[in-house]
Order: sequence, then C-alpha cells, then structure tokens
Amino acid sequence: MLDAAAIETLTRSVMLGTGRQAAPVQKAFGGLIASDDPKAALKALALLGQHSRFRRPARAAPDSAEPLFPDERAIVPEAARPLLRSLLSGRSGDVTDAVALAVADAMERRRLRLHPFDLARLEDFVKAHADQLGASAVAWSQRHATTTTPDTYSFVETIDETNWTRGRPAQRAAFIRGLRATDATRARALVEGVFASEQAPVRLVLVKALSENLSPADQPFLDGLLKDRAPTVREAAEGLLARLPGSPQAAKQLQECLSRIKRTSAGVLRRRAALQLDYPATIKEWQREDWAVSTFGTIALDDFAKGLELSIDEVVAAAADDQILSTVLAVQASQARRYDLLARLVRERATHAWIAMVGADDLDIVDPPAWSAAAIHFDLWTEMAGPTLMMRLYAKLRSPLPAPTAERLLASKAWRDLLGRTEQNVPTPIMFSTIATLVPQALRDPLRKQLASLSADLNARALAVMSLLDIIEAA
Amino acid sequence: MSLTLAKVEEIAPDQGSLSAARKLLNPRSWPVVAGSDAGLVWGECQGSGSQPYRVVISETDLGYKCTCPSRKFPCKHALALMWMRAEGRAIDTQPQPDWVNDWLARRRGPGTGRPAPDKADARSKVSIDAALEQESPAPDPKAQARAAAQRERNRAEREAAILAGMEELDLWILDQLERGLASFQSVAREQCGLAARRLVDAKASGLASRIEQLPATLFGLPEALRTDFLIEKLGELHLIAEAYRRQAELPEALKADLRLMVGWTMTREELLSEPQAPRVRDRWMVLAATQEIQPDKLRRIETWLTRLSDADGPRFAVLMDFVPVSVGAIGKTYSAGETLEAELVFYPSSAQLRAIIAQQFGSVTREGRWQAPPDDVAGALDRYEASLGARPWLGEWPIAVRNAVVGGSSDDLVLSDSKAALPIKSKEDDALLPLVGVSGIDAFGLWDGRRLDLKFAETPLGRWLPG
Repeated sequence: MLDAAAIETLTRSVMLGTGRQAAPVQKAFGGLIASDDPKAALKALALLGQHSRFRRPARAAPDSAEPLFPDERAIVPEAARPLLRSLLSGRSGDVTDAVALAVADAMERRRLRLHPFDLARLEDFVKAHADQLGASAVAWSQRHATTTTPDTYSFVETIDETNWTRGRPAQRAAFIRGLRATDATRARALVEGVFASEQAPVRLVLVKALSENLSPADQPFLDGLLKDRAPTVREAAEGLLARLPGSPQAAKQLQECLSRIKRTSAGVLRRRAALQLDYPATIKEWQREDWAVSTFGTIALDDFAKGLELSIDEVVAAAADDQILSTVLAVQASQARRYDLLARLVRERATHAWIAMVGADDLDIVDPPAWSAAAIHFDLWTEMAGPTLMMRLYAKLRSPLPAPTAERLLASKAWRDLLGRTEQNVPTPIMFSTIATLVPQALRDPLRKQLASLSADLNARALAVMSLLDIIEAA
Repeated sequence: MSLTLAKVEEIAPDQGSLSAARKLLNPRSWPVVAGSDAGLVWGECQGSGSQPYRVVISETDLGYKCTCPSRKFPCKHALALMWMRAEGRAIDTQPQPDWVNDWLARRRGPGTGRPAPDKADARSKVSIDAALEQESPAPDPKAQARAAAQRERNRAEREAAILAGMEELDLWILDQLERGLASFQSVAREQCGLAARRLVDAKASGLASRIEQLPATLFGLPEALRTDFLIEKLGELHLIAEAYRRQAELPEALKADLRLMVGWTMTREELLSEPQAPRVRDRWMVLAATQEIQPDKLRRIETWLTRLSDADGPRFAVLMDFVPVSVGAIGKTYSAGETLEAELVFYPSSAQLRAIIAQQFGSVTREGRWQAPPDDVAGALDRYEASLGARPWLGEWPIAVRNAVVGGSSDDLVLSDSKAALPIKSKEDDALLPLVGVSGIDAFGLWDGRRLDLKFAETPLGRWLPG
C-alpha cells in the first residue's frame, strides 16, 4: 500500500504544501482514507509519520572500529580516578597549580595514562599537560586540529635519534637537552640538521635546549642564529652567546656588569675591598634585584671574578654588604654548579636567593636535589614563603624536595608557625597542597599527621593529592 | 548506603554551597547534633538569627529538611550535616525530637510513611492536632454533594474545552500542511508558540508543552533528519487529537496514558490508591539521572532505573520530578550505578515506564557491574517497536543492548553489533569518543526513533557515564 514511490510523493506534497501540490491520499492509501474525508490530509500525515517511525536506521555497522586514542601506556589504577577527577576537574579543580604539575610529572615518571573515559572530564588538565600524559592525551587535545593547524606533532613514547623529529616540541627539547649532557656535539648537529625546516616556536625551544652543556664549540651555530627570521630565536641565541665565555656578547655583558660595580674599601683595622652594585636611574628600588639577576645572573662566576681581578672567595667577601650582589653571586654559583658556594652564600646572607632563581625563566636548575640542598634552608626562614613562590619552586624542580631538605621543612619554625596560625585563617588550602607536592613519598605520613589538626577546608586538597601521588607512584 | 564525601559532592547544588558547608564543619557551629538507628541525623546550627536552624537528614534516601530560608537545595546546613556524617564524626544516638518526627510524618519520600504513633504516647499526650480532630464538624452531605456536582461540571467544561482545542489543533496542522512543512521551519517558534497558547487556553497543558518543545528539538537535529521529524511530530499531534475524540473506544491503559499526556493529572495519592496500577517490587539500578529545564520554567528531573531481576514486567522505569526553576539549584538525589530495593507503582499506560517509588526497602547501595538484558541491537529495536505499537505517541524509550561496539567517525558514531547499528547522538564534550573501538559493551540509552542518547555503558575498561 504505502510503497516507496507513494511515500516520496506524499512527502513532497506535505513539504511543498498541499495548497500547491495536493496530497495523493487515495493513490497512497487506497480505500483506507475516504476521498471526501475533510481530514484526509491529516490522516495521511499521521500514517506517513507512523510509517516513518517504524523505519529502522539504514546505517550499517562500520567495517572497523579502531580506538581513536591509542596509547601503549598503562591506565592509572582505578583508585586514582576519583581523586584525579575531584582534584583536577569540575567544582574544585585547578589545572595550573603545583598539584596538577606534580600529578602530571608523577604519571610521566611511571609511564601512566589517564583512563580514556576521564579525558572529557579532565579536558583542561589534559590540554595543559598533554606532553606528560602520553599519546592518548596528546591525541585527545588535538582531536579538533585540522591539517592546516600548526603544531600537530605526534607523541613519541620512547624518543631517540631515529624518531625525535616526529615528537612534540617539548619532547624534542627534552631529548636534545638530555643528549647535550652526554654528547653536546651530536645534539647540536641534530638540531642543525633540522633547524631550517622547523617553525619558529619549535626553533625557539630547540635553541633553548642547547643551554645545557654550552661550550665554545656552539658559538658558530649560535652566531648564525643571530640572523634568524624570528626575533624570539635571535633573542634566545643572543642570550646563550652572552653565557658563552669568550664570545663578544659575553664580553660585552661582563663589561656592562663591571661598569656597574663600585669598588671601595671597608674595615677600620684591616682594609678590604668592598663591592657594590650601581643601578641605572631608571630602575626603581623594588626592581633592583630582578634587574641585577636577569642582567648579570648568567655571567660565568670565574669570568666575573677575573674581570674584578679578585679570587672568587675575595669577590664573595667583598660583596658582603650588598644583599643584591650576594644574590647575583648565588645565582652565578648555581649556574656554575658550585653548590658549596651557593650553600655558603645562602646561609650567610642570601637566604632568599632561591626566589630569584625560580622566578627567572632563563636560569636552569640542572641538578635539582643538589640545588635544593644548597639553596633552600628552611631553618633560616622567619616565615613561610607564599603559595605562589612555593608553586614556582615546584615548577622549577619538577620533583619533590630531597628528603633531608623536606625534613627540615617539616621541622622548621616557619612551617610550624603557619600550621598554628590557622585560627586566624591566614594560610590558604593551596599552600598546603603545594607543600604536599614538595614533600617526597617517605615524608608524606609525617606531613599527614601535621595536617590532621587543620580543618577540612584547609587540608582536604593536600591530603587528596598525597593519596593520589601514593597510588600513582605505587603503580 | 553510608554517606560518602563523593555523594555529598554529587548532591550539592553548586560549589558555593559546598564551600559554605565546609565552613560549618566546625563543631562549635552545632550546639546540637544527634542521630538515630533509623539512619536519621539531626542538629541545630547557629546561623545569623537568634534561633538556630533545625536540620535533619535521612541517610537512607538522602532526604533532608532545614528551617533556614535558603533557596538552594540542599542548603549548606544540610550539606554540612551530611559532610560530618560522611567523615564519620561521632554522633550520639538519641530519641528523635518532636520536630524530627513531624518532618518524618509530613514527608512523602520513599519508605517513609507516617510513623505509627506510640499508643501510650497517644493516650497521654495532649496535642493541637487532637483538639482540632475533636472539634472538626461532621461533614455535611449536602455540601459534599454540591462540591461533587461542581467538580463534575468543571470536569465536563474542561472536557469540552479540550475537545474544542483538539479541533483547533487539527485546523492549525492543516494550515501548516497547506503552506508546506519546508517553510514551517522559518516560523516554527512563532507558530508553535501560538498553538501552545491556544492549547493552554483549552486546558490541554500537557499537549501544549509538547508543542512548545517542538522547535527546540527540531533545531537540535541535523538537517537531514528534520523533514521526517516534522512529519512524525505533526502527524502524531493529529493522532493524539483523534485518539482523544475517540477515547471511549480505546483500551483502558491507552486511554489513561492519553489523558495524562494531554494534561489531566494524577496525584501521587491517586496513583497509590489506583488498584489497576502495576506494582513491582524488585532491586533497581539507577542508570541515568538527568535534569532539563522545560519551556514552562519547570526543571524536569528524570531518574532512569533498570530492574535487576529478569522477572516478567517492565524492565525500565523513569521517576519524574518537576521543580520550579525559581527555587534555585537542585542537587542529584540518585546517581548512576546506585541500586535500591523498592516497590514501584507505574502510571497506567499501554507501555509502562513512568513510575513512583511507593516504598523503599533499606538503603541505597552500590553494586558491581550491570549486565544488560540479553538483547542485540535488532532485539532492542524489536522491543522499541512493540512499545511504539502499543503507545503510538511514544517519546524517548529506554534501550539496552548487550555486547555491542561503538564505531564510526567522531561526528557520526553508531552503536552496533554484527547485524544492525544505531546512530548515536553526539555529545558536546566528545565524551563518547573514547568508547570508539571498545568492544563488548553493555549499553543503555534513550532512543528517539532516530538517534540513541547513550547514558550508561559497562565496558571492559570499566563503566562509562556521560560527562
């Protein structure tokens, strides 16, 4: 009765309008609807609609169904999922604090990936930390990318010389940085080989990766980059050259630095040299430390001492009365990996030099445990640094503090004072959750005990992140 | 189910309420906190007023009551009490105070009938209720008869108004047909609004609501599906109008369903006292809990349940609650994966689905993996078609499929097995995409005849729920 042709004719009629093309009711339904029925068109419509509702979907099963987000990594343990969701999504989620970084780092170390069903709920976390979370997270964060969208590099689980050019920019930079530590020449050669064909953002991260193990052999390549078409790359190359002993940029920076040093004598009975920084008139007092660290922090410590015609110990002694210059020296000591000197400077007068180091983007911390032990002396702190600074500290280290340093943190007066001031509601939950990321696994139980006395609104996030990190690290 | 922090988070209407509740966790805010063995916890929370707010929660079914004037449900006081309970704080067991008993007696929640009065108490206690009972005058039979006659007149007037409204509806559809459905889309909102207003005037509010929602559904569909949708929906409206005119010829269940759909109501009490209404006691699992704001400014809260035994009778049920949007945010009472033993009473229908909980037995629990009934895709469609045959104006219908796979491209997904496939309605947050390629899925969703709105799936990777 209602065949395909009749359906088509009826549909065309109701779509165009029965006023223009009468519905062929008789033809379609035979005697079922009386020809003189004033509601014939309505009945035809109802029957057509019901017929349509019984039509099954024409779509056949797809030939194959391959996962859209493949990943070789193991999925996080089931117990971690609710914690991940509660910490990093929705109502209380924050994906830019130290908690998110620490979780991403822990997953990267354990080679774990998110459960696929959590990708949507953890969208912001995935976008922010895809490079640490594995191939599925990268594929998820790029699911809307088109072929014309730049930065569509694939995630390489195990990166080496054969596949490094296919990796994500951050992966490639990490690979080059790692290779620089063992074979600086080979790493530079790899970068040189692909440099011209890369886009500016990738060129920039590759140049920055060369900061590791910088040597005069890098100078010709870096000199060439001073003519790069991207200003950011030129700037980065210039920064590296300024750190390269013997380069014109380094000599120029050293000269500028020396010209800003006032040499005087101090002492009554025994005269000794005294050094003091002289600031440009445009630099306000509160800008001085940042200016000094960013301008002179990357100068090699030896060159600095030579320029002043003093030994390093003499320079340190001569800068005793200038707090900012002492901080600059601490930064230079850190860059030179002179952790003994760094520790001495911090203990004697530059207690908070670490703040300058973690705040500067172009200062690398090569050996986080040794650096932490030398630069962070919680026993000297009169009060805890704010949560933003502690977050920066984690972001620079990308790992918890070494156990002895963390032990000193938990025993420090500054920390205990903070715990005791909760009645006035001075600390914030983010402070405690950040500290939780800085404390290594072995010290989480003592920290839990300390936090137990706080109210739930202060300690909940910290306790949750410690539970989560325990689960991830045990996986 | 003992309360958990995750459950408290789920039930909270918004983050602000949770944060406010967190500040009330200090024991000093609660001069009185006590509980009973029946899963009740109550307390008095000192607010800004001179009198503390009285708060009571029922752990069994997450019922709550607070005397504060907050427009959030649950309020921060109820949330704080739940939170304390979830954290396992020590709470003294004490006899329930009168105000808790009053609440218990008044509430209509599952499994909470008015508590049987203690006979000794009933004799000894002096109460206003008792005084009122004694003083209430004997009913006047004449007044009762007058009231009944008036109700009958009102009813007859409404029937006439609805029938007249149905005639107008037919004319309206004929007008649209004459002009053509191709041009209907450009005037759909205006025309449907007009038709809905006329039906409201004709006291057919259920049908009015159906028409008012039509444009939103229409424009939510891909272009390719809109023609069929319009033909189906406008045809369905005529079908309803015709059925209403000839309701005397319909089977009782279909007639009752039709009248409910058109706008006649059945109160909870009427349903509970309806002898023909099917009652099913079983274990039920929550597969989905959704909230949607209707054009009439009511928030429709749907809780989709599946029966865990394979006994005869309805496999699925939906609990529907309507709350004015103006009362503010509402948290979820049930969430997917929870199970409860309950007696459900189904509204009369030729395809039974909507129900209420007559009585709940025990607490809500969480159990392991759900196994879908042993239907393949074609079998699930057979069931849908049987229901559609029984109830021609069927809306979204629950479908469960065992051992299926999701495949296709990101914006054209299907749930399929070796024989058939169901197109899946895409989600804005792409939450469906990780299901692609996962085989052996037991899936539950709502099928509207064109697309499946996937709501719940058990997979080898674990349970999938929409974001």
